[in-house]
Amino acid sequence: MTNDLERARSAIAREIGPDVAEFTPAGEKHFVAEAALLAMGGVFLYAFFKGMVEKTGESLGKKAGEPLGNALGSFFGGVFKGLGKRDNAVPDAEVESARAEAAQAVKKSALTEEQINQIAQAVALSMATVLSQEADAGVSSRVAQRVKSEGLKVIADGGR
Amino acid sequence: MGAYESSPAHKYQALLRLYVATATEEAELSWKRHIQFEKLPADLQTPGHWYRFADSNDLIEVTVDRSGQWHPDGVLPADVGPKMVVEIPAGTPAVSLLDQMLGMLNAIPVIADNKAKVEELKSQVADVGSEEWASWLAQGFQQGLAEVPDVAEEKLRFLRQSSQRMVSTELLEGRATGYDVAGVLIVAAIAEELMGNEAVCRTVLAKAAARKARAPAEVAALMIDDCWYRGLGDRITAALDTLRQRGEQVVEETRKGAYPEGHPEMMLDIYYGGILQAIPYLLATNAGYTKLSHAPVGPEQRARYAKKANTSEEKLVRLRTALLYAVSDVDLSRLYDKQACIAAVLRTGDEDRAEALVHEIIDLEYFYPSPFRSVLLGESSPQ
Repeated sequence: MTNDLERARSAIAREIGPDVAEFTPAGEKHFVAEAALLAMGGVFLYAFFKGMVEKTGESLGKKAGEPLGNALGSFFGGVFKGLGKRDNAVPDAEVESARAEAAQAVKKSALTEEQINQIAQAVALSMATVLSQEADAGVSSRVAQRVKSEGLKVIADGGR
Repeated sequence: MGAYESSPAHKYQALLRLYVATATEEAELSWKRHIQFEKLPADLQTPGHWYRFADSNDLIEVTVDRSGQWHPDGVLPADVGPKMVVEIPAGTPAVSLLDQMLGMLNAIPVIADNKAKVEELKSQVADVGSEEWASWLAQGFQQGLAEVPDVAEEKLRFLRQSSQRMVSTELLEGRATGYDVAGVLIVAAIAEELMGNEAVCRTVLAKAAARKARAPAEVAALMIDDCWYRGLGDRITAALDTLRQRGEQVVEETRKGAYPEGHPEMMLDIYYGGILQAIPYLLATNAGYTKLSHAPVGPEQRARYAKKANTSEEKLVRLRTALLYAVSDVDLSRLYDKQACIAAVLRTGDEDRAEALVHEIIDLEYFYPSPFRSVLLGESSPQ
């Protein structure tokens, strides 16, 4: 994984860290070490990239597929069951590839920075809404905003 | 970081903090298990094992990345055979926390000046956490509440002062346990939330002061029941959320590692004292939401309450574990071990791995305050 992606994943992991129990399955008692947190950071980042590809396409008139909230919902629904476990991690290569896809979509769209930020905000809001079905709303929003800011940074780096 | 002295007084404080953090029996059990685990051969203490203590059916799974899960049902997954479980023997009983503290107090040379104080400390440490002590605390608290003039504002002033005294004096000095303090905090927080309707607030508090209770935690539990059946569930949850928020604020403030100017050697004691002070807030949240999760509500609401109980418990476990760690690290031997381990990683050139280890120790496990980042990375010394 490239250094910038690793930094982004690590920053997200640190945002999740104090509230990690919000994102582990209800009724289970986990203790989560750094490596598992990084895996969670990768999952969140991957979902953000996929959301950006979808939403950027929609903004350019591409026929919308499944509503983003639903898509993220089913994605995180599966993820929640195994968050905190390494075998649930998205492989590094897939995170890399999703980043490249998102960077390409944003680059090709020729959207302004403000428009890209609006799209990213919409993705972050969808993510926060989905996360808050299981986790505290404030924590969900804080983590989603961190995913957005870190995700946007690496999309910009990947688009160069 | 300044001269850090591993004196008997320092060790006594570390033991006392762990002893009173939640309930004294819980502290003794965690200490006993810690010693049992420490006696395992080194290769069985490494991550990547399933464990079961001799006196328990629970299973603890520790994966190779040092994450893990507690399985209270004691049921192994299909792909894990019973032979893969490390049974932790009871072994020789550990010297209890209480006996260690009494031993230290008995070792103090008695002179005329300190005789009364030492005797008082011995009696206090032997009594705190007992049913009689909790009952005595509850009676004092209820009596004080009853004697305050029947004006909501006056009652609140009393509750704020009681909360403050319990957290910052009684708990730190070992005259109350975390559960005792949590009880007072819940009563005070709910009363704050009821201030919108003074009549209700006064009625609920009068009842809380009058009902027979064996511990401050029971006063709180009875008050939650009372408010719930008055249809004040939203006030209870608002109070519990405020307590949780306050606990998190205390943790965040504590993690900055503040110390009096010119006395950096006090940083660790102040830090662990702050961790101790955060515990009753999270205990209160956990106890309150656990109780609400058994209230007659729909499954979704029940799941929400259970989740809030679970997330506060998870933080609580980390804080308690940090206090247990502090007892083992009273001579800083564990700090030096960790420093050496991180230095070895740095020598391989893997700075990210070293950073991750430091992050885990400071930000996830709360073993040290944030300024110890540079100590762990070998950039400064604790002494």
